[in-house]
Amino acid sequence: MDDKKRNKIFLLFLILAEGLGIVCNIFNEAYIFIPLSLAASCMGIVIIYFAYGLAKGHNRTHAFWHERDNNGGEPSDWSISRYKIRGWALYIMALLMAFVPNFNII
Amino acid sequence: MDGKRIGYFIKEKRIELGFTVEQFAAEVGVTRFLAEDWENGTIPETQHLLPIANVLKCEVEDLLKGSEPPTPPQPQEKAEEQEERQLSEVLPQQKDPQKEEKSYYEELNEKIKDLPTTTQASGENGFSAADRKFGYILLAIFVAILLVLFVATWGAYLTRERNLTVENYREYLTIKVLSTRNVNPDTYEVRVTAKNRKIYDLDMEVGVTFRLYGTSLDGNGVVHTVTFDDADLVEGETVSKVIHLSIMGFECGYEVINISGGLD
Repeated sequence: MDDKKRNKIFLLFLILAEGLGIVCNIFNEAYIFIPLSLAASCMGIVIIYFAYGLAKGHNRTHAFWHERDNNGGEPSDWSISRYKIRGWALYIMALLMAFVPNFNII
Repeated sequence: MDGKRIGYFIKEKRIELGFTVEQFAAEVGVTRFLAEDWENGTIPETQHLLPIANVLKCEVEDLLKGSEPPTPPQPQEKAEEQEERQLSEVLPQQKDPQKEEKSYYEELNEKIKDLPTTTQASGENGFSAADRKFGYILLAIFVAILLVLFVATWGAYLTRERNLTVENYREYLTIKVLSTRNVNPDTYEVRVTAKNRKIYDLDMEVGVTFRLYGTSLDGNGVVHTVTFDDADLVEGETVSKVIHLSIMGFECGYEVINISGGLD
């Protein structure tokens, strides 16, 4: 199985999990969380998927104002990881919104 | 600052310009011995830097930077290099106008430009194997928690209480007795509100005790009974009944005598 197909299946699972979270919110009548959860999960997935492009874009804009490095604008593993961490944090927040009404947190 | 580099630079420039040591020393305004000292590695005093730079037709910055002295030649190359050096001392040096114009920083920039650069992409968009692994674990935990919550919620729903009794009515109903007049109260209202469940066919008898004006404090007071029949309440809904007293009195508490009804 090639990476593209694996990515598609994984994306499907991510969307399914988010869908389950929204169903949970509907059952709990916590409608306010639905748009928040959707926005966070969409942003999270996009950031995780395009972490490399975002990190490269950041390098380009940084080079516009500051001195360029000799790396040809290629992002380091760390800068890509930072975007991945942000993306996952957003996605996890979206999933947690499914539990908030169950535990009467607010 | 390296004295040897400066010395070599002074010597190099002096020969280039065709000065002898004596001539050079005279131009700068120092003794021949001091000029020789500089060429041998002594760093010139600050007050001599500008005159030296003037005589050698260079910048003080270049003078302090100096130039690299030649490394001792290998035996097989020695004769060849000596010949070249002699030639270079005799023949006038060809000046590279571009090199003279370039400053130190320009040269540095050129060196940086020549450094090897990475042109190959260090990654690509998409989910990495680590992403997928982490994601599947996360989703498995998420689904497991959802399942636990689902089972707990349905378990609680299936084993819920379905009838109101004298023992459990406080969990589902709020009862309040309020006077409708603040001064000389003689009319009271009994309010029954459903808390968190829908209640149907509510039959309830509430006894409210009043102490009427003019009666002794050690007596038992007067009990008025209020009855609710076949009331259906949704969450937050209230039903009420009014009690009229013959004279002014004060409420001393209530008691649910009888209650029956279904919980949704």
